[in-house]
Amino acid sequence: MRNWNRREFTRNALMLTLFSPFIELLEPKLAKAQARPGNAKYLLIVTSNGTEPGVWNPAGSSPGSITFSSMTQPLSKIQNDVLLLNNFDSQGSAGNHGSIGALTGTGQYSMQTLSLDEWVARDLKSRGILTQVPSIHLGGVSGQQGLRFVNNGLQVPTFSLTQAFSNIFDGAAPAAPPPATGGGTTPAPTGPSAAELRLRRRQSILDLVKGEIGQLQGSLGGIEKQKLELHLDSIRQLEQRIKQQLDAATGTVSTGGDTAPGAPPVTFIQPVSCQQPGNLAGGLQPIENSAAHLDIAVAAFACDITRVALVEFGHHQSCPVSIPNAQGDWHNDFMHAQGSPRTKLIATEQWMSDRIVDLVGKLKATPAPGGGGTLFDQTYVLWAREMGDAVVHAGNNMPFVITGKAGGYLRNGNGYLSGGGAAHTQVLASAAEAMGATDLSTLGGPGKAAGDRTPFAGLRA
Amino acid sequence: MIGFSSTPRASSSPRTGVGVTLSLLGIAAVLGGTACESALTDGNPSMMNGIDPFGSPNSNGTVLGPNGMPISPTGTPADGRDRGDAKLSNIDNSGPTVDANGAPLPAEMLADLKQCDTPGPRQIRRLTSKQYRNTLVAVFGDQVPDAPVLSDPNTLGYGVDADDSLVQGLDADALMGFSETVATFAKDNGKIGQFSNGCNDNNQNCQDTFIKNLGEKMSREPLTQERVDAYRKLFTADGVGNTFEEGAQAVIQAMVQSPYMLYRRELGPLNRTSQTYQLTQYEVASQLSYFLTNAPPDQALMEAAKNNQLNEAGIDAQAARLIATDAAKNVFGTFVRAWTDVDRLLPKAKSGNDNLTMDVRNAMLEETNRLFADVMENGGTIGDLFSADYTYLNKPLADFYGIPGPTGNDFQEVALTGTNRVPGLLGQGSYLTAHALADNSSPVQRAFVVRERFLCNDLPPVPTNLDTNLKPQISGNTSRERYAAHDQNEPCHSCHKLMDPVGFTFEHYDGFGLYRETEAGKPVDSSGGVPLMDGSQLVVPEVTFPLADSAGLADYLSKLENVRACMINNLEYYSYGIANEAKWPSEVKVCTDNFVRQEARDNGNTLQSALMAVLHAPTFTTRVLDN
Repeated sequence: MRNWNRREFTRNALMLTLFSPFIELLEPKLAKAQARPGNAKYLLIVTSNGTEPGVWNPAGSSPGSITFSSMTQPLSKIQNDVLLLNNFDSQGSAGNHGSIGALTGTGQYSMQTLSLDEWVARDLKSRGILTQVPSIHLGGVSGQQGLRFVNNGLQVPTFSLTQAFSNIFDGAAPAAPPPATGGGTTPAPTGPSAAELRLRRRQSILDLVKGEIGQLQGSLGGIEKQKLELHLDSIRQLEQRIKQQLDAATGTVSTGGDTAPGAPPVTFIQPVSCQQPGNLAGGLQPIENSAAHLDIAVAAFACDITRVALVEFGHHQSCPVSIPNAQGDWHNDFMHAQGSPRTKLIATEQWMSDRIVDLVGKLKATPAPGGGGTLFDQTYVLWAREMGDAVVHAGNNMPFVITGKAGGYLRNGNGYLSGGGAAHTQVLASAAEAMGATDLSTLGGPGKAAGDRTPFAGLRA
Repeated sequence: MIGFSSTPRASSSPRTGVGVTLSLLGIAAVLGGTACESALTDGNPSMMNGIDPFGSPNSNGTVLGPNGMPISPTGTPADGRDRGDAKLSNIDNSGPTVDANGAPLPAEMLADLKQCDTPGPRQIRRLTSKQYRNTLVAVFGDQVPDAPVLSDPNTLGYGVDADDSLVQGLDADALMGFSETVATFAKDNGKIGQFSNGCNDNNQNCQDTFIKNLGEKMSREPLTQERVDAYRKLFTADGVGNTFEEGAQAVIQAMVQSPYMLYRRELGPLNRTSQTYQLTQYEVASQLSYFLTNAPPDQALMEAAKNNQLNEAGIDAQAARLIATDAAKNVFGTFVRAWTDVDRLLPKAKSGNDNLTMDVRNAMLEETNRLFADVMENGGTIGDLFSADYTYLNKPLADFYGIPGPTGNDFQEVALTGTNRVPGLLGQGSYLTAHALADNSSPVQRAFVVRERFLCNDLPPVPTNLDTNLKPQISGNTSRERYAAHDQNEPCHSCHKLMDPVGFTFEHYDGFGLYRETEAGKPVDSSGGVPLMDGSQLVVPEVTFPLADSAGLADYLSKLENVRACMINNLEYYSYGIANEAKWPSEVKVCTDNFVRQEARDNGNTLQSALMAVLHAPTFTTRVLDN
């Protein structure tokens, strides 16, 4: 495992400015891979445009034997680690552009509707597991809403690599020495460091900002008040992180958090040292930008800063692509303007498959923070689609690619499974179950039939 | 006569296209795998949030439930942030606007628009990323660090929506980190002293001077004593340090993240007599400056606010001053490019014409900017945007079009008379090239923009389970022939009869916006027409206004009342930032729509009169309680 490398921060002046106050936190007190609270597992969701299932499907395959199609051929390089799924039905929730159902399992807009990433992050917290960042949402096309659904709306992923890096790793500190026991706090043995003072200053400033938000909120009606409530949520999340960072700086272990009545106390998961992501250069085309975001997600897992990541490739409406044998707009040109043999879409699908192959390689090369082998052994990777058949705008044939071991949850690879028309929510439910969720009653939104959110049995080891 | 009656739609029917949508879905369901050959191949998605040509709405429109039936997103629980339906399509004409053949009625024959006086809702609006940046630049200078800490969700083709632009998730994290960068910059570049009047003693006098001077700039209004007191406490807060400079840095950090920095307030105090809220002078000043220049109020505007001069005459005077700035021209350019959705031109894949360089593409966009700015500046009408018989070209673009005259890279006015260019926006390369296939024209894309952006029609979403493969153009066939299948197949015909006749009028212009007399050795057939629609549906009995080509279409649009109304709907949204039925229902918003339209009409429907009417509308300075 490589430590945080001070010199690498200097590659980018902005980075240096942003991180220099924390460098002292990044070097001492490195934690070895050890048993991490919460049975550390990781969920990495990759999304892309829909495809043409008729060309994508690995025809003639069966469990234990995959005959890769032209689109999926690169996945043969990781044949024994990959599962291909198709014939799952979104039940009308993901049959068109911008439908919200791909990751929520429902077409119903409501505050209770959550995409899988947010659902799992909240479930982890409800079970007392809280990392510095509950979940991350990266990639996509700048300024365009992706597939993450929370607060009754689709969210815009962080497109900028430097901004993502800053948001995730700014202040990430290696874990404190092993804690004493239980909750409560242990006084710091020495005077406050500069970094610790900075964290306290941050909290002082947030106290002021919250007070101002409260002033504004007092005079507003419901819709406007709700906007500021989301702002406050964002601040509360930051405050929890600051508290964790202070714990790391002072060698303290705290418990707490705004958990529901009766829920177990939250355990703050402290980050560990890890390898920082590589190239953060801007100016990449969107899909290459997303590929770099995959590296950031892997690093965020390796540091145990978060356990849930959603990395989006492209956008359901428009995304310029320029790769060998495929130049144009992913949806309009590749799905619609080019007929059979659809070489541009095939080239793009192959490029995406190669990114999954690369991802698997990186996960296998990265130790899991909580032990138990590599990140590959502890991660559930789900490549999902915004809709099933993007050519005809249908969601009754949703394809998935699954890889990783998810701590032993997933069956071995080399499998091709047909859902036989089962609800695609069952695939989402499998990911949730793999992450340790036991109560799936809210997955898929209100009104989802119990059977439709039952984990798909064929995926279990 | 046929009336676009367009009575305000009840909020209980949130998406006006539902009726048509359902019927098309029904057809699709019956036909199962029917192929809509060469049909739905091209969308103009970036401008549509909920109204894209392929379908179901992005975040606020009809979606299909488990039983395949549409679910209204407005049926959300009371505890939810009910975003309502986002649309710009409501038009209330109070009477007919075209004759029995669909020909536009002259302005003097139009009924006066019904007037009512309910203004819009109180609200806060998060600054756009550009406005946030410009505010920091105004305070700390243009060397102040930049970082993409805010994103501007694309709603209805713009990035200005008051209800979608939020601070959430990791945003607070990003703002905190960025605030420290800004504070360090301010310290390292001697920016602190300018706000403390050179004082750096760590006493209350210096602290308050700094807080008040900086706070007024960042908040665009004087600070209340309560806020001054709160900021003063930062000088002695935990972790801040002991010096004036350290305290001042903490104040900067807090102000960079303050809701008074991040949000524009459109709130005002309650007028108990009228039971409305009159925006403060400073709130009006911010509205003016951010709308017209994307920047905070300058000193003159703040002085006017301080002296209570922003009444209608004061607003007019300040607006006239601001409209003349380069910043305003940039704002107008951003608006017109978003309205016509031509920014997509830059990344658009094109093949078959090496002369379409990036310089030419940029020149096409600048041509659009210049025409809009000229019409605004010189008293042109909304109709002139479609009928102007002149344009602005530099040599590279003129050469691309094949028009002699211009020299160098500077743009100059060029008469279109005698050229093969169509007047106005519809004849510009930006429009014709952005809304086209990679290597040929696209009647569908071009018509889609006419329908959705110029006429404010709601086209139905594309049915699901419909084969939308565009078959390759057969050698020897024209582009028009490629799309002929739409006339022969259902459900293709049901929707494409709304678009294709409009799009075919552009067929003299290829995928690069260049004129052609022939295609595939055949004379180009650019005949078409505009089937009349009322909102989302064809008028019954069906009437099509016939057109010989896109020059005829441009002339038609230039005279049509609904085009003027639609442009104003877009301009209002760009200014007010609300397209949310739950917050500003159509039956209330129509008060503002009609005020703006009537004032513009009374002033000859000039583009500037429409802009000024947006500023004169009661909503600009008065609000009602938000729900």
